[in-house]
Amino acid sequence: MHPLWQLKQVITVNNKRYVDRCNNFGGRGSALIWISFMSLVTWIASVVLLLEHLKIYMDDSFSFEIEGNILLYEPYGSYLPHKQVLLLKLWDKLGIPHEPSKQIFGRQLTIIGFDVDPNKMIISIPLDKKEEIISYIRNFAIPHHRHTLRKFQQIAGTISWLFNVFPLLKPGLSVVYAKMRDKSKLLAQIYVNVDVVRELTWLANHMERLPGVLLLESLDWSPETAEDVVTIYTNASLAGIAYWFPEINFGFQSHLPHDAPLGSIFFFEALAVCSAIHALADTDPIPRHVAIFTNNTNTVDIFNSLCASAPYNWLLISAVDVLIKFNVNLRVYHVSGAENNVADALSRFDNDQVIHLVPDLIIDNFIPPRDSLGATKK
Amino acid sequence: MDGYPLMWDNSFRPLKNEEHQAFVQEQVDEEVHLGRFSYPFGPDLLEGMYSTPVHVVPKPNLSKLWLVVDHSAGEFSLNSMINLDDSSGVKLDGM
Repeated sequence: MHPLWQLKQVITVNNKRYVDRCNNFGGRGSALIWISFMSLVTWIASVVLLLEHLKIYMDDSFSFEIEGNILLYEPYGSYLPHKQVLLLKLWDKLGIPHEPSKQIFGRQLTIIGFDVDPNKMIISIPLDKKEEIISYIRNFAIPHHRHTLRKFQQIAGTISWLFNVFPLLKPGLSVVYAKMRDKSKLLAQIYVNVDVVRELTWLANHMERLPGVLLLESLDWSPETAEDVVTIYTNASLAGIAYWFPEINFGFQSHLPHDAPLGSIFFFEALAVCSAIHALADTDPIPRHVAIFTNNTNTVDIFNSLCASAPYNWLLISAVDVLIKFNVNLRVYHVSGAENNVADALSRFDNDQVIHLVPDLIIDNFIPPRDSLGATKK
Repeated sequence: MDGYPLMWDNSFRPLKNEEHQAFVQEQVDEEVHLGRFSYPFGPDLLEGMYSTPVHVVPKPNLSKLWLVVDHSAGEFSLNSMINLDDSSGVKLDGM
């Protein structure tokens, strides 16, 4: 640390003073300093040593290597994967300490608590860990209890970490984040209201049923490359909402629900996407991959990030329930208003125009899913 | 910094028991040996110095102990000198 900051880091033990010269992790700036430093080390490894695919998460560096490509690392007297040995030699040169017990390799590696298998291309959470966190969440989500901001931050941190294997469950933390917003006193008590309970219970219930295994293959697809993609175009207007399945030539329209929590067009654009996802339950066979097009960029953002505050978050939760139930991979894309003319005409109930654009289209009505509007689930 | 004293001794925080006292002394000696802490001096602080409290917590799921240096303690804490806007927004996987 800078000498002037070292002066501030005096420790007193048994009436003797000691100057702590190092970056202490209790310091507010320490994470940024550490990350800057390790970024430089990683830069040297990848640009100077040409070590490819080196990954790092705080102090956990990891990568993969072809089986059998090993080198002797003399200080430990053992053979380790080629890249690992080169990285350790770099650390030695820079004076970065390391311990043999943490220099591990194998067909499966534990990385930040997850079991990663690069051959099967899966990341999974150990079952006992999963169960431990489910009971942690259930014990936290007790109505009318209070927890400190610090406890809220801790559970948010743990759950965010889980999203590595349960990416669809991100909407389950929306209210927790909303409750923490603009608060900074770590010991201040925060009330566990019904919304917190509802979302965390939703999260725990899904975790219980899901296997906790992320197939990396399921993330790597696009409408151009995947074979079984179903396309849906959606739109909202001041008259209604609509979605159109061009491949099977079906269009659906609904008047705006009178009891929507918000009257903005953005809400109805997002509701149109949510409704289209619900319509998948009636398709046969249910597609593995779905690409939804909307001309509203906010809607694209919330469905791809799965991050939104209420009442948009209710739409996400409602949509994710369907995606999980039918094991559907979703992508939401932006399309220009001009290219979305069929869904646009459907949403305006301008059915003459719809038939003009797509002469043999079958048009039907639908009712937007009730739970997406914030109504209590049955 | 405006409003901060030139010298500040906020080190008073008695350790819980003899085991903790022995552990802290052992840790401090180790850090001095490794050059991470200075050699001891005192008993007075020098101009410009601040001293923060330490305590001991058990490591999660292990029988080992952990030395905690509290940079957030009390008035004029070290962390209170660091602007949150300068240090927030750190992405742990953003390297």
